Amino acid sequence: MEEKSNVNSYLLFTLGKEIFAANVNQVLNILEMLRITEVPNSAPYMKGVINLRGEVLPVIDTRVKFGMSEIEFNKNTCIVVMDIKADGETLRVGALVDSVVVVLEIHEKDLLPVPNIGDTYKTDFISNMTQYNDQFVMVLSVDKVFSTEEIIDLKSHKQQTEKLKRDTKKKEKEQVSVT
Amino acid sequence: MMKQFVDVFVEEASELIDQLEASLLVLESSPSDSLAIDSVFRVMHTLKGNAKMFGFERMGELTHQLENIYDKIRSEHNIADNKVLSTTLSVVDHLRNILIDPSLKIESNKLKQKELEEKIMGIVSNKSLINSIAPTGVASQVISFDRSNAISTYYISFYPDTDLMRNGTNPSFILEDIAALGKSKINAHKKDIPAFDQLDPTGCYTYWEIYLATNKSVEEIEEVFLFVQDSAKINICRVADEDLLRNNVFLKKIEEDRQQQVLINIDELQQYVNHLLNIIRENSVDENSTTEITEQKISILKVSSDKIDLLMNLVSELVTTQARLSNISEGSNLPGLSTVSEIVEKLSRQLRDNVFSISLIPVNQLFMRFQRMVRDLSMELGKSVDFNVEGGETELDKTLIETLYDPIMHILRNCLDHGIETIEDRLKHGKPGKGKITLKAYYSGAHVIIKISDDGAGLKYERIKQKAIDKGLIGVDESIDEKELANLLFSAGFSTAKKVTDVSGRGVGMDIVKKKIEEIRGVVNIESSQGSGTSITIRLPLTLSIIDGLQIKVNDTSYIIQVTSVHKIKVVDTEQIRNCYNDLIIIDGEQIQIVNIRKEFNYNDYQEIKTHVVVVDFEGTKIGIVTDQIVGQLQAVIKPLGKFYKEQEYISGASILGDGSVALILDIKKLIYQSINLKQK
Repeated sequence: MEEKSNVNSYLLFTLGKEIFAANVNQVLNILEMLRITEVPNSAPYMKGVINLRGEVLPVIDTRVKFGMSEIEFNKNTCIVVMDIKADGETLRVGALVDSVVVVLEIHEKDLLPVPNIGDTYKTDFISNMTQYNDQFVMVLSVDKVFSTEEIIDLKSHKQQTEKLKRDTKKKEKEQVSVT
Repeated sequence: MMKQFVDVFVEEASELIDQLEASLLVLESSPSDSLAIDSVFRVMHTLKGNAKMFGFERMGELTHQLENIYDKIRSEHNIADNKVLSTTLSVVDHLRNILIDPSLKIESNKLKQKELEEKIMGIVSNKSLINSIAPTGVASQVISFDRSNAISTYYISFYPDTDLMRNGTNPSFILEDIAALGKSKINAHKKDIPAFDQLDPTGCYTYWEIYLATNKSVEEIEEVFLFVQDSAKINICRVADEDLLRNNVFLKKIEEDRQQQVLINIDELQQYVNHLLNIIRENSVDENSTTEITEQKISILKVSSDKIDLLMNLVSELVTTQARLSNISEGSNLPGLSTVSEIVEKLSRQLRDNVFSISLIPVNQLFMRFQRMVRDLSMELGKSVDFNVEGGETELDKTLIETLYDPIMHILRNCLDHGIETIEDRLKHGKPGKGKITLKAYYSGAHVIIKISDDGAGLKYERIKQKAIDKGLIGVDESIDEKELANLLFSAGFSTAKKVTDVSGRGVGMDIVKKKIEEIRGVVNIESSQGSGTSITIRLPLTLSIIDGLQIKVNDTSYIIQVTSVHKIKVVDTEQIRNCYNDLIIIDGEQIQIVNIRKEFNYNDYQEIKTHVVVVDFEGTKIGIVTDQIVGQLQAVIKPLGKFYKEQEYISGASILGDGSVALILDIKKLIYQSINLKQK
């Protein structure tokens, strides 16, 4: 029982080559691509609106939101429907992702802190790092990512990932040398 | 369990208190109005009884004493003097507080209770305060009989042009719509149908005569014919102020006329009806009185607004689903499907209208609340004002009414503070000392108009202009007409009052008024002539959640624009749009300014040869909206776009189409306004 309470499920998805994770508690469902109605004169990352069982759901191009190039649709493209909290309200939003990888149970002890790279840039958008198949995964603070109006600069996060990689390797080496 | 009853009591009591306040204000202007005194007495009596039953002891005590005072006034035909009235009005305020704080936990309420009890005792013990002036006899107030529920009989002739059906109209739908308005008898005249070899199967050769008994107005009947009025001769005539279709003699005459295929002459019909009515009146005094009783039995149900909201949501979903059904039936060859789909469409439209009418409430509920405010404020400002309310029975969506309170309140405050002059000033300018403010509501097509007008000083255009220049809103040499100047009042931070009072003049008023009204898709306009008054018009849609729309396509995206503003639709060469000078094109010999949606939304030029232009009315001028293509007409359930698109200016919502895709609702007015404004700059 005790062990279970420290385990959370995360949905892993990709944007370009990077893997991201979102707590499944906030994920409502995953939709295959469907026709998006474009809304004119809106922010570049606002892709448009879709019909989600009779309600109008705004869809965000998560790639653009993270400063990458616009999403290219293929058979793996998905819309992840999430409930986010912003200003005390719950908003429903669809996030376009390149592909959905897996739903993973992650134990709390496997959630690594985000390394501080000495940059003043806000690290609010990523709550933790973890590993999946030897690749680093950024665990998103979904509420913050989708409630901000700014475009998130992922470069600094990349640096963070690299630093983390270096740190872990160093640790491993140290461990090896100790033994 | 008890809590539930108490809630009901509180709700009823606040209604009663509102009613009480209204009667008191009537009494104030005509102190001998026996009807108002009766009403005050009755309300006091009911309040007293209910309050004691539900443990609102304090309320019980106050109302008990007041009831005695008014009973005395009533039975001795006295008049309620100012002292009694002003005490009662302060009691009214206090009663509202008691409803929130029944056991007077708040200190100020406790003190007030004591003060009021003493005042009332003072009045009761000092009988001389109640003047023993003999009543002036019959109450001077004229009670107008509310005819809104009375049934009238209409004669309607509907003589369509032969090509009516060719432009897609099905006359039987119109007849069904008419039949839905009330009781009806329809005679079809078929003698114009040509012999079979000359018959064009797509032509309409029949014409109809309809007798309709309904409580609807002529305008509401005319609305049914709205889309055929250019392609048919229509005559609507009110023949009697009662239900003639209950009368067997009349029914027999109709039947005879039908068999003989007589074409009715209106004058003869009117004569016949008048004659018939005389006979009926002589013979059926008893019958009338019994029917009146049965008619009065129509009861009113109290339903929680949550239930109605739920019903509205369901109807909205039904309308969306129905659109899907008609979509499927259009693409299918299944026999009978199209008929079923058309019936479902019709039923869902009727259901929609009925459900919407449930959530409509008369604006009087809103207007009543201003009576007191105007009275108190005019006293405070030392001005004398006649406040008239007209059209209180006009109905509006309840959510609209809630939103309207603040804006109208603010406008009225402005009227009193800046509009109406002091008594001396008014007399100096040759006006009666008493100012006049009128609050009026009426229907206009698919809109409700609320008009607030005063006969005060009017706008001082020179001062507005100076202020606008000071604030940098306009240039020093800029020429600007009065209409534009007046509308500057709605810009943020604009206030010309020399002295800032706590009533108005904080400069945050009118722009918020405008914003609030625009939030509910309304339009506000101001007109004024210097020296003789100002009037502010608020134009509102009847309902918020469903519109009759026109579906258009631009850059492969579906948009919906509201049909009420559409004048006509024209196919134009794209070349003409591309090469037009100064955004002006000629349509039907008329020069029309165009707004190109593609241009406004920064899309590429349209590549097809032909493009569709929708001509809409915009503040009295015709504007052509350039679209790619017109898809058709539909009922659109408006859904909000949500927080993520809160910056969106031109899109006021979205709607789900029959095929499941999303269409955006285009705010045409804003689009035109922005486009034209930008061009001028």
